Amino acid sequence: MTSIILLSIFGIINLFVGFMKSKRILLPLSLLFLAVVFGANLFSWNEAQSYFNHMLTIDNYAVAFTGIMVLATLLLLPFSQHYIEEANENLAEFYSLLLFSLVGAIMMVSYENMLMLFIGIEILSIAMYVLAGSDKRRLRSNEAALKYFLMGAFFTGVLLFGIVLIYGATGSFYLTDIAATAAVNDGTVNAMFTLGLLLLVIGISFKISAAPFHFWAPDVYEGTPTLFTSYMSTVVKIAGVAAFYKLMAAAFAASYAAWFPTLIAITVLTLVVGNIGAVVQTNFKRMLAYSSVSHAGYLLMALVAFNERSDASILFYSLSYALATIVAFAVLQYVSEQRNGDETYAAFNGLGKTNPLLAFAMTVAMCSLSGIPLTAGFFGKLFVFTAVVQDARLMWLVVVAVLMAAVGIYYYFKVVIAMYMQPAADAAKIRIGSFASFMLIFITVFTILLGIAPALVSDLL
Amino acid sequence: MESVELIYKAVYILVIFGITLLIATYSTYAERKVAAFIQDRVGPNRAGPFGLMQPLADAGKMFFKEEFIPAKSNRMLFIIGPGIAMIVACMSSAVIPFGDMLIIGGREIYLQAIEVNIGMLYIFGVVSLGVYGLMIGGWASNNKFSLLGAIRAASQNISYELAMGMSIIAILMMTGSLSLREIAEQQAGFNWNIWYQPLGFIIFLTCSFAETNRTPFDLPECETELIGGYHTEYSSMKLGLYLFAEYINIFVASAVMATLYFGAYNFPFMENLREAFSDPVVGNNVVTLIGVAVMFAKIFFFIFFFMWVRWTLPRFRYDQLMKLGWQILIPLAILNILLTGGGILLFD
Amino acid sequence: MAETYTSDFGTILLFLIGSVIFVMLGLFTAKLIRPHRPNPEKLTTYESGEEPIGNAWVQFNPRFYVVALIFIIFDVELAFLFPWATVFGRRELIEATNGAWGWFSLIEMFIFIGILILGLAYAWAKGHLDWIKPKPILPQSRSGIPPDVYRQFNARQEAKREA
Repeated sequence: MTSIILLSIFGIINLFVGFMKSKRILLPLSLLFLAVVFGANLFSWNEAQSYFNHMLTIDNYAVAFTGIMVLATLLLLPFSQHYIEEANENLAEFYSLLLFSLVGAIMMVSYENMLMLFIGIEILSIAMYVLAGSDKRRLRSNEAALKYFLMGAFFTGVLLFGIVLIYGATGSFYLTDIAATAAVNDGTVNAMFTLGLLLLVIGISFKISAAPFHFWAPDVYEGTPTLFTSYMSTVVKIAGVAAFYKLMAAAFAASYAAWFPTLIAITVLTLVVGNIGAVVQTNFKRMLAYSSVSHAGYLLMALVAFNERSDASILFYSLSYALATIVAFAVLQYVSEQRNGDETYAAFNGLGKTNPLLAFAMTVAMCSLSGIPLTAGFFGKLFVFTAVVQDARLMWLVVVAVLMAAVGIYYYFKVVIAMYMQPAADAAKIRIGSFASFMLIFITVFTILLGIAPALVSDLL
Repeated sequence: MESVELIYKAVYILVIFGITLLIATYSTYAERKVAAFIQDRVGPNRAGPFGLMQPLADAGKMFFKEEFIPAKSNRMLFIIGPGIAMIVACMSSAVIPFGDMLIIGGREIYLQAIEVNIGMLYIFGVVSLGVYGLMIGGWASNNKFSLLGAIRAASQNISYELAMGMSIIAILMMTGSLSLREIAEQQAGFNWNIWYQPLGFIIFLTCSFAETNRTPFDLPECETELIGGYHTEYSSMKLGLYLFAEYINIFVASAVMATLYFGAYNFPFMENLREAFSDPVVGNNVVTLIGVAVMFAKIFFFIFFFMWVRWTLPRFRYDQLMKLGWQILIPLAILNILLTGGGILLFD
Repeated sequence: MAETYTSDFGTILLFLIGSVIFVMLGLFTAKLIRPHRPNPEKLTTYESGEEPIGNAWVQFNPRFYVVALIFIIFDVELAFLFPWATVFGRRELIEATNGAWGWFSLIEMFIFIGILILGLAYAWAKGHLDWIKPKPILPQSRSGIPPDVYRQFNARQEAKREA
């Protein structure tokens, strides 16, 4: 709760600091704010508390996911350096919107009431609609914002229908009440309940861009300014999956049989569509969009497994995925900006020679994304797969996932090959600020550290 | 019994309608006479003695004029627009307490069509619906002047609605009730709200000028820039409805101001007068009847004030209008809420 | 007051029906008795006597939308303030809490309004509330006669009239 209040206040302060002539103070200030929120959030650890008539509960689950999301924002903000250099007039608004959207994300992982879930999703989404279109003069950014907004509004409607139908069937917005009603009635109260559940699943699947509701993702990710794409594919997705798991665990555990077939279909489809779609891309950013779809699939696998290891594996996977994605987008941002806005694999040609640091960070990130040992991504996938394997009937799902991970190695290593094996067309060194380099090193070290000692995070929940 | 109740209600409604329409009709006459007086002219004096039949002649003209509906307009919305404006204007007079209760044959009759406990909210809500009539009509005309007039009207009305609502909030903090009758009863004698809410009254007065689209806020229909504004394309009875709705709105705004700030039907020494009669029923009825007269005197004064301002002040520019609404009135209204809150807690 | 057959809001419905009938009656009577002789010239859109160009249903200044957005925020605030205002001054609540209720509710509402004031201040500082000011072009004429001459002439005329 403190983090929600702090973030709101800090966001407003940021807005007003933006009226100062010099925008240089904004980045350090925002980082400081996020660090304060991160610290304040930790104080709630092991001290679960409910707020607003139990509409919000800050328990360890919420604290852990809040921590990851704040950390992810903290790590990706330093790469907004170029906005400061070009003296973007709306810089303060961008930072504030990120802080405000974090409020929504936190509500999505700590809700106990469907209304809070809905409000959280809206707070998060509306900020993202704006940020998607923040590059006002680029047509693609406008297109991305409009697509995201129209699609998002439509699926928000679907989600709301789901909530309403569930309310109609159970007479409550509270997760515990819904669970109680469902438990008495063998998990399926009536047709209205089942339909509502289906609509809920569809609505949230859209938010985490799971197939077949992923169609907006590539276009929106490509058009959105890279910094915010990075935020979208990390924080928004983590919040969505965490909210999804919480919803299923707290309200619909008894209705497992009702949503399991739908969800497993979505999961398999997401894995296949995400990975196969990524293979055929020539644009690195679009590839990352499809890759984020496929990672939604891995995250959903943990949800499908639905046992005591699910939440911890979602947590670890989210963290490892966020770290690697932030690096990938950050490097892409620097490379494409200084190589004429080129976002294809060819832009990375010869990066290993000109910028060994960037190339190395990118390689580690790609390894982590594809799940190579000694990186965080390996343990992320391992934990998810072991969670799924507990149920022997789901063995086939793991086989599909491993096959798809192998496909993943192919397209993730395309960029590594480009960096180290292709001659540089443009031998100019990519300029990168010292703070940003430090951040890249930090994230890379963190990724490898988690790959060696996963217990740092995996045993939290 | 039930049908008797219904008949009573119907009579109430007819009476209120009649009063409203009569006053609105003669407001047009008064407007022209006042204008003439201020401009040192004679004004209408041909139809009937002192030109008193002039409004009827005008109304007749509205009926007999040929009407055009532009070929390019949206026909249905074109008709609905003035309809909404008029319906909304008529509805808003429903809750105004014109007087206290009369006792006739042991039966208590309140001189108010409807007593709802959210009267103020009702008026506030219904009046703000009025902008739909303007907006729909202006848009449906498919005329550039009308469109500009319509969006100006919408923008202006919503801007001033906020400050108006906030000045009402300050009144509500004092009365603790949304019922207009209770608000009126609390101001018995000379205990009028104006003594406690001068700033609120000025804000409310300004906003009601803007809400009724009267000069100096008549930008939606300013002739020099926009021909007739949102009703450029209107003629015949539909134009009549728009113009009539404006005068009804003035009447309602005056009545609300009199009720909220100037003690409605209350007047000084009314209790002494009531006690001067030996029979309490007679005393009550006499005081009530005088109260009704007082109420209408207050309403007429405000209607006159509307006209006085119209022929005295020049029109605002649009940027000045928005600046006044957002940057002066709203901060002032918020300040007024804070002052009222502090005042109530400190002195009460 | 006696039990009434129609509730208060039922009477409002009667009022609505009455107004609708009144409007329809007016429009219908006018339709019956007025002449109706349209021709294409009469039915064109009025544009100061010129041939109308294009359609009026076009995009207009986005400032109007911004004003509408800010309005909605404050209107919602008003909706919250109305119930607050009616319980704020309740004597029994204030007495039951020894006066603490009044200050508590006042400060709570100050904070709520304060956040919205911050929003207004932000929109203000960002310039969303500034309408475009017209820049009048004053007619300039080059004249060989210096303005002083006019002033002297006027003064002389004034003096003559005074005398």
